[in-house]
Amino acid sequence: MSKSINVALIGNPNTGKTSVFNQLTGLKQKVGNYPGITVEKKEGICKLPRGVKAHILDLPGTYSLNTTSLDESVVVELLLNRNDKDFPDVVVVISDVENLKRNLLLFTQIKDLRIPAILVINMADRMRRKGITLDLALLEKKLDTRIALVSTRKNTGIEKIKELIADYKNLSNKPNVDTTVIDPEYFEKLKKTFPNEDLYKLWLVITQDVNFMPIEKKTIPDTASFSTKSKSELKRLQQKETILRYQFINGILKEAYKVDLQAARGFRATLDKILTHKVFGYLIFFFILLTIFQAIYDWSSYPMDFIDEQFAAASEWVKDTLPPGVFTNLIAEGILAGIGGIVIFIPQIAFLFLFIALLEESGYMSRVVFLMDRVMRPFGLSGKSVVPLISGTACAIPAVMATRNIENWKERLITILVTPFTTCSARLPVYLIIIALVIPEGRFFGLSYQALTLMLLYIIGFMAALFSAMILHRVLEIRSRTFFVIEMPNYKLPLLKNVAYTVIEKTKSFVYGAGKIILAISIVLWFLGSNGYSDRFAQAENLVKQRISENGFTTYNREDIAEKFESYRTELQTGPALSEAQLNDSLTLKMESLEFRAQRQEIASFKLENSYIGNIGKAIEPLVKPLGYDWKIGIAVLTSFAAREVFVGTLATIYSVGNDEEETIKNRMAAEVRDESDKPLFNLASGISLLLFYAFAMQCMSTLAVVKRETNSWKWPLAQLAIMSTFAYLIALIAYQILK
Amino acid sequence: MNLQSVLVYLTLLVALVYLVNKFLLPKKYRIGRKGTSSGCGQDDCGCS
Repeated sequence: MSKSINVALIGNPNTGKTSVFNQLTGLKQKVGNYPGITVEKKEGICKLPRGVKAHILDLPGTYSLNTTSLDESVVVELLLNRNDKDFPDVVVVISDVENLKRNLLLFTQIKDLRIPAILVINMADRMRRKGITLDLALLEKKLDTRIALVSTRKNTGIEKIKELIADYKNLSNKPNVDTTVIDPEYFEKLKKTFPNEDLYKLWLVITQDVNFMPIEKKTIPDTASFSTKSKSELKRLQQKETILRYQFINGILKEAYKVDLQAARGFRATLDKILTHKVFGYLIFFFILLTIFQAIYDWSSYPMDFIDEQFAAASEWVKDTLPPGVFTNLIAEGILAGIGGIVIFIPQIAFLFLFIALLEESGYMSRVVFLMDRVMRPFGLSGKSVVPLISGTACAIPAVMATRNIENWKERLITILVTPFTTCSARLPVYLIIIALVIPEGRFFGLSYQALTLMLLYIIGFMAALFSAMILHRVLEIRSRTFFVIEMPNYKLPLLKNVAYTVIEKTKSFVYGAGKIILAISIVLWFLGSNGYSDRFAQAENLVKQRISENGFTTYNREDIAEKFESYRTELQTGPALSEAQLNDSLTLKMESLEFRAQRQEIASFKLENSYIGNIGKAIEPLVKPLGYDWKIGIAVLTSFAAREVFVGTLATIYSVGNDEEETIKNRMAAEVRDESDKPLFNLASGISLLLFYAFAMQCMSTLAVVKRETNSWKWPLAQLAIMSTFAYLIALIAYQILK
Repeated sequence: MNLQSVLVYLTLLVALVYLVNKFLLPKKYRIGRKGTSSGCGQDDCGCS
């Protein structure tokens, strides 16, 4: 039986840790969250020499074991807990050859915990270009470890890492630095009080949250011989420890690490000047954002249309092939529509993460964060919030997922909560149809009123996001440090393998994570819309047929049939000559088909009206009436909770229009009058009220599911739903009451 | 009640149980994988 060992990959951010992980594990990896928090957990399996199997854990990037964020505390928690099932038999510390000094700080801390540690010096391919020479033997001796010189780009050194891991039992676990010298008296007392504990481990436990929010841990109790120091004293000691470590590292690197500075300058400095320039920097970023937006909004429409068509075809196929009945309808209209509603987002998610991965991998993202941070900071957001906010104009789902790049939890949470305010593409069908209905066609300085309204809605969405971010920044009592220290990694060509892994992994996590919730809600919504408890629902077909036979079709369908029939007659008369009998037969057949279609539409409309969801719509009519809506709009608002664009489709069913062609639905909506008067239902007041409602309401279950997934709690999505819906309701109410 | 209706109610039941299990039940009463065994956290987070 092969033996399995636990290996933890630890390193500073931007050292190529994930590339090493990918090369060690290939596709034998899975991505999840650490229990209770949303810090990403990546693990994989790697076969090592001599039949050893390694369970590799890729831990979040950290600069030291003095935690400043949730990500970093995950690393410390694991290294301090020998009972954790993932506690490493050996730690592989990944470092970057150009930043070895800073990287070694973390290495020495891990070494001092007496955990066997291997040092991997990555990006070895840059050594010549940067004028770096290393004395590996001396480094190994001074650091008391084994070193692998690696280039993930050139795929060299990976086998060496595997060999060193397999040979981990021969690694020394002696500490590098004697930390007790920073305050001998304090450590002496600590030793006396806890004689069986490792001193450095105790020290890390004591100082674990001095820079960070209080975390759940067993505190070390004060005794007669020992009392813990105040936070500021502990911080001072921590600084002394860091200085001590750098003295140790400097001593080693002075002998073992040489840099020819002349060779090191050049390309990076020039590029940095341009990309972080006050004017060009923003222009370049704007251009890149435009490309991302174009990809999500436009390029992805081709695969999305394709997916849409395939699911529509599959739905038709199911209806034609399976025996008719309610379960067949559920598969065709509920399950397939639900799965389609998940799969259709894949192109947008894939495109967004393709770009994000390219920006991250190339080193450009750090420049963007630097550039945008000063703009976003007053709103309580981070420079990295720009990408989710802008991507949100295409779709909030990938945008919320993109917030994973924001390290600071408070900034990330605020970005997640406000992103759904930005105008996503699903709002567009609703906006376009309502604007076309209620906004006149005039022009203002050459710009159409309708276009201006649409633009205004985009601005309102973006302003709402920024304004609510500012409020949340003040209201949310989450302590997390917001100092701005950013590392500017070197520019490099993105590794396609890493980019591909990111895209696959993000897409998978959406499909499996949020997808199940979306599918379950789709099934419930289908059931509510296709079933009812009343006799009217059960007898829908007979009642509608009886109504048609007594009173004829509804005015709209009557006119629609007449118009289509006339147009068909004209077509026949202007086409190839037909005998009178042929002409009459064709016209009779056409009339029968038009009447059959109208009858099906009226039955569907009647059924929806008397379904559970129809009853709910009628029940909430008193609630939506002050906003200028009737029960039909109420139903559309309810069903569009699945996705905003469903609003238009639902109205099409309720008004028994029967197809989703915008022009037909628009005409039917324009013809709709209020029950109590002959005034049109969709006028400026109710139209603006609807537009504002959709601008602010959280009408998207997929986004809620993703927010739940990203915050690992229902508290945030539910609060988001409640606050956004209430706000939308109030604004819509005010708008209608003023304008009516 | 015919077979198709039974299947519809069964599917609805599965969806409802899934949603209740996920949204309403406290973690300790939840049905299914507990995350720790697979090491992938306690929510459905893409660990397949």
